[in-house]
Amino acid sequence: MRIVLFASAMWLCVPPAARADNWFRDQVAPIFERHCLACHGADEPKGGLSLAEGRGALAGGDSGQVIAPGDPEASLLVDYVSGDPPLMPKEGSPLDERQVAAIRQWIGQGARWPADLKLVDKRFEGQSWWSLEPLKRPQTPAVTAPAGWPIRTPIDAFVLAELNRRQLAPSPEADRRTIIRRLTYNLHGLPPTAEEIEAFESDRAPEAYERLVDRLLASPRYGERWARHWLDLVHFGETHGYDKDKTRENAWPYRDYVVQSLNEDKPYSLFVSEQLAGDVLYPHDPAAVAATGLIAAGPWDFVGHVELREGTTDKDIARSNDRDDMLMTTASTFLSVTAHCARCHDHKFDPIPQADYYRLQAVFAGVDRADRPYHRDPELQRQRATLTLQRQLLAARQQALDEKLAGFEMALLDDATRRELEEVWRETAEVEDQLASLPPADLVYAAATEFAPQANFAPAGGCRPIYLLHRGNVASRGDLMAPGALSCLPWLEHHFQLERPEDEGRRRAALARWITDPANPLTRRSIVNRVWQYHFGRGLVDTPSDFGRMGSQPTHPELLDWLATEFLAGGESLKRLHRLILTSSAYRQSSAGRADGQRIDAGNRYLWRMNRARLDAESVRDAALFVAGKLDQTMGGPSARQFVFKDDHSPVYDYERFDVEQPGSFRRGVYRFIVRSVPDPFMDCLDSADPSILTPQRNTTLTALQALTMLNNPFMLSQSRHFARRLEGISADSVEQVRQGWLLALGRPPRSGESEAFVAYAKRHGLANACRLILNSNEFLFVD
Amino acid sequence: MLSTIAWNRRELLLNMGCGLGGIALSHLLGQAGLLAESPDPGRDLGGGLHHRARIRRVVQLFMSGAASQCDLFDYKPELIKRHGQPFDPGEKVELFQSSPGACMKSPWNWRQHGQCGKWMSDLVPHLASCVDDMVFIHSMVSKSNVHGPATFMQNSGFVLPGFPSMGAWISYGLGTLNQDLPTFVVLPDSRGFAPNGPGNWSAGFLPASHQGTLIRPAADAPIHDLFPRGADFITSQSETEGLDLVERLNREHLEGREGDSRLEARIASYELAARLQLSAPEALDVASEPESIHRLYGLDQPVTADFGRNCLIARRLLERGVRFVQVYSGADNGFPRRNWDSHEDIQRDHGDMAASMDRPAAALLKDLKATGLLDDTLVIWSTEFGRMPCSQGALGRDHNPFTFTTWLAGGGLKPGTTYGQSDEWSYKAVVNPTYCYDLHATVLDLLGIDHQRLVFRHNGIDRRLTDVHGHVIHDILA
Repeated sequence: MRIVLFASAMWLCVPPAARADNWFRDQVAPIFERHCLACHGADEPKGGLSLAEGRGALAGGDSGQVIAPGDPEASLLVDYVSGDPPLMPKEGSPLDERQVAAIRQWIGQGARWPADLKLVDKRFEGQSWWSLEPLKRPQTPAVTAPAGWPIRTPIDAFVLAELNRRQLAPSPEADRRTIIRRLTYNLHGLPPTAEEIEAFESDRAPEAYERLVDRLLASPRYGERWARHWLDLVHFGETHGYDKDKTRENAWPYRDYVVQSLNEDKPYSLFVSEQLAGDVLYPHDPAAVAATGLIAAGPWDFVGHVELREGTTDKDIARSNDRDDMLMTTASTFLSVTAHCARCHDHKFDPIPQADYYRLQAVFAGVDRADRPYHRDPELQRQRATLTLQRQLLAARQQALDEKLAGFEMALLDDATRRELEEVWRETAEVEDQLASLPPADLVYAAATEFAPQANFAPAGGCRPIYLLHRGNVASRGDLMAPGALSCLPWLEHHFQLERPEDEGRRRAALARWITDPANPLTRRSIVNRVWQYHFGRGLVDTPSDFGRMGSQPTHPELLDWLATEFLAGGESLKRLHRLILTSSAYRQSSAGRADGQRIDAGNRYLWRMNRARLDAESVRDAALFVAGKLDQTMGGPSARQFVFKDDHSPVYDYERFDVEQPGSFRRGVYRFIVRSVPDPFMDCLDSADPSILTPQRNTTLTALQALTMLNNPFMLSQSRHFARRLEGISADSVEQVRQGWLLALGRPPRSGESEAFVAYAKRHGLANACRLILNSNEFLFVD
Repeated sequence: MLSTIAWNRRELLLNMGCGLGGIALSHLLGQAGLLAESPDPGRDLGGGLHHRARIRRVVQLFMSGAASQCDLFDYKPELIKRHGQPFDPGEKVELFQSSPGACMKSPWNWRQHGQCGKWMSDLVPHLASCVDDMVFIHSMVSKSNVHGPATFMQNSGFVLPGFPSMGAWISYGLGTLNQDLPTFVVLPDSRGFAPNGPGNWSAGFLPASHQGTLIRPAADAPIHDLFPRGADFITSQSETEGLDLVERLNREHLEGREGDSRLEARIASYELAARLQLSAPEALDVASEPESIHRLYGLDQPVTADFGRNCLIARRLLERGVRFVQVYSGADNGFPRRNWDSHEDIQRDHGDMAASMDRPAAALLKDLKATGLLDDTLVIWSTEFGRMPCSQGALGRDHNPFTFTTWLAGGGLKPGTTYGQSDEWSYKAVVNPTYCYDLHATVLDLLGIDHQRLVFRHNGIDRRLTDVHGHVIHDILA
């Protein structure tokens, strides 16, 4: 009681104006911030009404004043929020009685707005969203396995639980031929050989399946196949795009880095860190330097960077677009968040304020995309990295001395300082000499801070200042931004505490640490969902790069979190994750349709069967080469140019005139040289990824032009001929030739009717024609 | 491995790029009462998606390299008067390559034409005879003064690569008008691609079936892979029997795999392909046109033969139900100049480009009008930005993103009108500055599409051709 009296007495001591201010601050402002500011903020407010500041609020909007100070009954604002039904807020639940009363009272008391009080949108405060929740390992559901469908891994229990809930039964295991074809295409992007099929069919050992999975994962073909998925995600290309689409002669080491990292089963956190800051974290390791090719993977406006002059608006725009691409690639790929939506305003749907976006831009404030010198030889790279570090330390000492000596005459120096200065000079000269005596450096097109300048394109020499840009407009600068990450995971510090924030490398390293922090739930949810998608054809979340409110919700949220925690606990091994998924009964199901499944879940979201897959562009190409006996399995190195190239002001890429019998034609699709402006028409027709955009999922089309390219593209005609020649080499008997053709391309012998028809056709029109038909069959193009 | 998901009926047609566009399809299904969410069942929208369409097809003539508004259409007596005087518009002038030179009048004279009395330069005498059918927008503005990004912007509304072009959006929204030819066709300059190459007619994140189909009439194979080449083992007999055999094989493969619409779709795609093999060569066969038409388009003159043939083919394609045809005048920015990028010598280089474009473009207008096709066809003449009224060097002009001219002709417009205005020099748009967003919104509006409702979700954002901008230019609509 005493306390209450005391408080009331205190209250009475507060002057009325301050009392009204406090009322607004405590009772009204939170309502505006939570329920109104999303639309009626400072930036392009709806209906012209901004409730972010006093002046705007009292001035009203397009339809006039909405607050009549002292007269709540005459205030439109009160009508809006209290009508039946209330017109505002447009989205979310209406205000409750107490909230409406608080607003009335505030207006009744004169609608005082505390001087300089600016409100911000807090609609997300206290709201949870599945992808931003900390990872917790869910309990595996207790379910009873149906006959013939053993629960082989906890995955099966989670899948079965969802199926049971929908009165759906899983499908029986597919036959062995189907299984090995499915697995081999899935992990290698190639068909199995007849011998491999035969061996697997006759292997009755209980662990035959697991052994097959292990064999496929251990093959270098695995890294080649799965690298292509990763290159889709990060929009890797080997020309700049835009006008003057120049080649990137040294982009390929990044592609090789991805292939090797996957084959070595590099822990995922290390894989992430190297791609963002490998040059800083592991400068002695050539692979880690090449890894930063991720940052440089996307398109680059040559004219904007090289030709436009420093200090022009368009130059600023080109640089801002460049950083935008870097941060979008990073946030979409590793975190599955759409941070790039916060460039012009706070994110409309997710808790990503504009400041977060520009903090992320500041992470990339010092890097450009350029040919970066390094040594592919590890010993030479070690020497280069050591010498470079020494040079940096000497430069720092020199700078300290320069500051100390500013204004002094050399002759007046004390001996100690003079000695130190001479030592720094001498050592610097030595280091420079040693650097110069290293063999000529190799180059990789990657994140670069030191590179040969080209016209108006030169290293930043530190960090360029990054400002928050109102409406994303470079001419409309706000605050200077420090590097940081997203603020939506409150248990992770999003302001980077850097010893030397001017060191751009530390900014990238800090972002890598933030992303790979074991407490970052987005990172693991994102990657396990992607891996799931590439196995099943659809992710547990089918918007794999958007885990926000505009994305889809997971079909199996607990399974997703179980996989993420299991992945983290298992040392973030992708191969272990593959094994876990591939050995499940869910993956081994038949893809055949069933009336009940079709009725209840036609889209097969709950996995009552396996999904049938159409081969992607690279698999079509590689498989055609493989069955024709022409696939060149050489790994790595500079890309194969499957076009005629003419360098010019604007280079010319001509696919029509390319001779498909050239050796470069026989390399795997992952090694093809990828041009941005002029895509390979054959691959393009088969929905290969557009390297100008991030492609977390490819589209699939089945068009007349695609049918024509499968029938008539010179590459397909050439492989039809090679395929025929190969069969003729195996046997002179046309029945046997057709049988072998079937086995190679489709993984099964022909049925008698098929054999008869094709033998007759081959006799009339030649074997090459028959081979062309096999390569055009649905059975070749689809995997059950 | 991808596309593991069987298609439903809507996806099936969306991804086949035959039949119908995605939204058009749901609309049609809606009209037939097949979809619960049908927008306006039974309402006749004349082929439109959201409201009644005033046009059915579009042809765009794209002047690559930046055609000069102040040497073609934007008459400025003040500029003539101040010729040779310092160029001082009262603010710092930031140019692409150079520092601003003196005011430079056009090397061509100007005179008035038609009922509407439009001033046109002597550089385009044939177009000058069509002014009463044209609508000029003199206040176009670009967000970039660099060819690549600016060309992207005119095509897709974004200065970045990876976004669907207008033709792709229209294909996605409305689908085709025919069963034998592509929906969206592009005829590049025979000397090469404009900056960004095929990126300019990309489907971006829309299904690839909506991208522009490249036709190069002068090439050995005008359409990629339409026929097998250099394969002597293929005969017409082997082809006919072979296609039957593949179909049989594919039908047998269907057994036990019922319910997967993609397998059926792929069988159908071979039938469509066969139809395309018959109809495309016919559409490209300009030899079948009468002599008078050859002369009209300038096929008899070397300077106009190339662009003239492409314009004539455009008309033939439109007639046969192609929805959107884009014809380029101008290739890349190389040397000797082969597009409109006349930094060095406007008289020489614009002289050549205009001579090759003027007669065929005017012929297309006259021909479409004569056949009645112009009533429900829109002709767009556009470029990525304009050129400066001051000189670069002694004779050239640098880039001008602040004002340039686009003209339109065809159905639903107020012919003979002029919209927007640049300042007295033709340096900056001052009355009704107009972005590509407004132009795109207007084109979609004419086609019966609300530009704010033609959306596609990609990477977390509901994308539109007009981004978050765009106002239909009602002042030029009939």
